[in-house]
Amino acid sequence: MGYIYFDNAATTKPLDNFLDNKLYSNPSSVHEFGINAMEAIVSVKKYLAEKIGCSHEEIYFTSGATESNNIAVLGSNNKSIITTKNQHPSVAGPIKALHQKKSTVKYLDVLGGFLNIRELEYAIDQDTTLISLTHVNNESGITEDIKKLGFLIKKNNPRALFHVDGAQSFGKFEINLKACNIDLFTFSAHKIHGNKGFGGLVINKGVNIKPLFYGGQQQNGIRPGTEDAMAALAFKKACSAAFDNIQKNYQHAATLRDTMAALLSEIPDCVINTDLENSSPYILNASFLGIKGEILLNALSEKGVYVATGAACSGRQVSNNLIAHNFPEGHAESAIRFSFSRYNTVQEVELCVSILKGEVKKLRGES
Amino acid sequence: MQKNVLLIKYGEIFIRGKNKPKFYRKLADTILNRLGPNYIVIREQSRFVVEPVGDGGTGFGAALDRLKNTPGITSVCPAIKTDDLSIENLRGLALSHMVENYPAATFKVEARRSDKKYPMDSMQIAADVGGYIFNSGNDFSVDVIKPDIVLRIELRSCAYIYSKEIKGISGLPVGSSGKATLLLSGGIDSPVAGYLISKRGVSLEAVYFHSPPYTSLNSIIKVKDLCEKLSVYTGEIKLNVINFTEVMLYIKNNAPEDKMTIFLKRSMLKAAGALAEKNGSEALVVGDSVAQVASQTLKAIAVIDQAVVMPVLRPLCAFNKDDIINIAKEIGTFEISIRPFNDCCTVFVPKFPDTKPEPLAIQKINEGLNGLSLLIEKAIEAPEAYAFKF
Repeated sequence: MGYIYFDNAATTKPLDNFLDNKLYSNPSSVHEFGINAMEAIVSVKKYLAEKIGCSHEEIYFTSGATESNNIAVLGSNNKSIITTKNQHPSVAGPIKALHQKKSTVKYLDVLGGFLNIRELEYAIDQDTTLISLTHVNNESGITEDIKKLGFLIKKNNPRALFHVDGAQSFGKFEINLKACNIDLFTFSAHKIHGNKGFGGLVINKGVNIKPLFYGGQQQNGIRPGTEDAMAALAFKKACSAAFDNIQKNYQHAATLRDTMAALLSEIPDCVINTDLENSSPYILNASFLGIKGEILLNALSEKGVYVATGAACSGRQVSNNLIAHNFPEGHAESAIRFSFSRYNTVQEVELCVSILKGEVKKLRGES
Repeated sequence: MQKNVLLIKYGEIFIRGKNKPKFYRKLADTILNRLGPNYIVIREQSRFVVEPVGDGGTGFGAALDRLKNTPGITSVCPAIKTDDLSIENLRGLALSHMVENYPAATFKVEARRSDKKYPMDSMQIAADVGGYIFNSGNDFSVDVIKPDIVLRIELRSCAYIYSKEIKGISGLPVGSSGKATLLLSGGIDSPVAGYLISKRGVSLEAVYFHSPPYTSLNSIIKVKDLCEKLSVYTGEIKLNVINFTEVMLYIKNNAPEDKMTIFLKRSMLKAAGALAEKNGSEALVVGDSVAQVASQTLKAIAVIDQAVVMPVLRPLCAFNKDDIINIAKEIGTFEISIRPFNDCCTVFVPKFPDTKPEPLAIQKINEGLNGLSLLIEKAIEAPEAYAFKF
């Protein structure tokens, strides 16, 4: 030990021995060893399909959520897009690229992190082809009611594709893609104690997706390249550990988050940015007013407490994502993200807050 | 006997009068130091020759890169060296050099001889060897106006044949002009300032002011990477990391907000100056460019420099930002400098900095900051030190 890891929204500790299978054969090989590998991959997809409410043939494994989001945005009918201003860069990036070329894009404001449903309905018209939203925001943890949004989207334009970035909710929230009217769903392995470089995109049958790159006929040519049965099996382990205890894990995260929120209220000028009722218990975003988030992060890091300001992917600057949340002034600059996993404990939360109290005092020049 | 060697040309040393031997020695030492024990350096008239020890391979790749980035060297030429000066031998070597390096080309031969007793003069040697290559049955034709290849033959105590001249960074050998201490901030300018000054023959020691937790560990990694990159040009460089948090906080709490940066920079110069005296430096080097930011106006420079006795060199003082960036890109520090981590200067920035500080006012405030000297002394007591060598 020796450190407290509260940066589980960036990535998580992999399960012990998660890669102990030796199924290295090429799943496209026609000999028995190859066929075994292909069967293993199919079995993983079947397992997953049952957990998230889709068909296993609709699951495409990718190198992770960034690739999945890019395929979803760039590969679908993207003439007219609706999204929000607080998207992860792997969604915001490709959409911006399309916007500069030919697509029309409507960016919805988010107040306190939430999109306004009326505004969304108003934005959808008969030309809308793609609506890309996030289930759980990676920086604030704010959680949208995906089922409701899916229903409204299809009610207003049944042809518009609904893409959901589920990187922060996958394996943590129960979801049924069909019931939510989701056409494209992004997930990632390393956010649930799985392998990095592994994730996927669920593509609803009947949705036409153009591949981003070309090669063999693996995964229907939509995501060509040699498949990795070993990685798929490792991913399944992480999935089982997540899905089999999904309620228990959720409760545990909620306990950590709520304890933390309660303890933080003892620190003066500390505000919780997250609407706890409507956000993922795995993420708690709080601002320590008057202290730059980055500086507090450095101070905590020196004490062995690892947290984040924005998302790890956007470096150390205040992210556009958080700014778009429209928190009151000064909150985004001084925001810290605590993100939990089932391996964290209440003791760690308590220790973290007591260290925080000291550092905040020091940085405010009170000690 | 023939050998693959590197022929090294140097420029400015020529004009050094009686001090020449000192400069020659310095350059030879630098070359040996950079190339390691597998090479020897021989002095020829107005050239150095680098030879691999023993028969040696032909692998000059890394050595070539190191030499072309060595201050004092104007160019490096991969050459064939032979001690058989007969015209028959020269013809043969010249032809095989052409055939090995070029499938087809227009060319001309240029010859020089320092031995005036050689039976042929330069023109005759060039014409003879040129004719031999032209008539060799290969795809080589002569073009004396605009040839693809200029094949050079130099007759000294040995003969050298070469056709490529790789430009170096020129200047003076590092160490021939003394030593200075460079204040590295992690930004774009200061590494470029260090590079330029080391080209003037100044050896460098660097200092970085770290202020945890206001600057992150990544900033130290960044500055270390900058030093590593700089060492390609400067040779060995030592980096001192000084924890400046206490000093910074003292200034923040005690100096007027609009003059915070001025006092911070004065303190940095003071600390670096003390360090410089200990390490035998004769000057400080900073990356300022006149009027670039509030603390780099002429008035600000004047009051900042008052903090130290040692001269403060500003090699970039008249450079535009674009020019600085171009050099930074050329020497490979730009990509490191733009990593998005705060450096010590960007954390406490006054909203309305004083761009026209008055010396008397500064002096008066300084008298009130009576705790500052002690904090600076404490800060430089035990810097973390790292050494970088390319």
